[in-house]
Amino acid sequence: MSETKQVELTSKDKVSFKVDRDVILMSGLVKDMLEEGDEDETPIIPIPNVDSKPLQKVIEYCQYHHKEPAQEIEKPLKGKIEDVICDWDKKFLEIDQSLLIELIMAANYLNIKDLLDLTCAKVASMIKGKSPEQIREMFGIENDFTPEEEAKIREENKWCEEA
Amino acid sequence: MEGFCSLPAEIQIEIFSFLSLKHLATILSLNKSIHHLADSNTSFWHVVLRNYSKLIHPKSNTLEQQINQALSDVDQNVSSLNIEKYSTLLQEMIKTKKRNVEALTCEIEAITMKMKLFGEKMKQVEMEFTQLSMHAGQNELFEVRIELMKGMMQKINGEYQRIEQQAQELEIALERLNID
Repeated sequence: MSETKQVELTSKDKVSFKVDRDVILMSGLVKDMLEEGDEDETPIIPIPNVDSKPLQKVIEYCQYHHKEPAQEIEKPLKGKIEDVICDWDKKFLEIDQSLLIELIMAANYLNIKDLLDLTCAKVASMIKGKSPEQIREMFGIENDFTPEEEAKIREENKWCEEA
Repeated sequence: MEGFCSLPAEIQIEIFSFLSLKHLATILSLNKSIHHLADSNTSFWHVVLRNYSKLIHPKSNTLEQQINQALSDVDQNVSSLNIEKYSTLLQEMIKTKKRNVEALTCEIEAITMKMKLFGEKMKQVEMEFTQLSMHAGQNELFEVRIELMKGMMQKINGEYQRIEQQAQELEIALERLNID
């Protein structure tokens, strides 16, 4: 029986993960690196921009979705994200906001479009239906508008609310 | 903790592209940098316009042409387009959407009325059929009438189903326009 080829990923905080090559080929970045490199038994690929925690989640995502392709998330998102994704993805997204942001960065860096879409759609879903104040509080966004400027912008974009 | 603001501009834009216009209005008033990012990015408005046009199904050919022209302009040269042009097109599309919603609502009301009338007609025919069936076998004339009634019932039933299907399609079309 032939053994599955593996790849070793090393995170920013120097944690190593052995992953099946087929699984991690979901990452455009890793795929390109593997195509360029030698046919080593287990190539070691440094992922200097991603910590072990989000990297582990990325691997978890790839392990599931390389066999079960993710469904495209329609834009604009109708309703909440939970209404349009599978149960596995719902469970996968039960993470704190800090890890979610790190996961977005990791998906972007590793070039995994489906994961990037899923995580971005999750943030969009968190934004939906909330007031500017609630969104600022949720994401720690500083309001640098004067009350007059804010009122003017709201007035200018009132037409969007009728959409 | 790294927050939303630490995300690169292109990712923030990617997140906003999942939002409908209604929620984008909120985004634009969050803070200066987000406002500038969303307000000045033509490729972002290109995505918004494309997403919105997919949902609206504009009936106006002129509007459709304008949208296609705007989209093709963006494909050719993003920097040459201004946001105002998108804003105008989107506002026009919102009006079209409102008109479409009104038209669909009227059509649904009309079709619901039609279904009600068909339902009443069916009940009436069924009653007549039951009465006729009680006399079945009495003479050939009754038999012929029963057969005729059966044919009529089938026809009404078929028509009712067709209208029902049409009503469902209209409901789906209306639901599509219900952009949250």
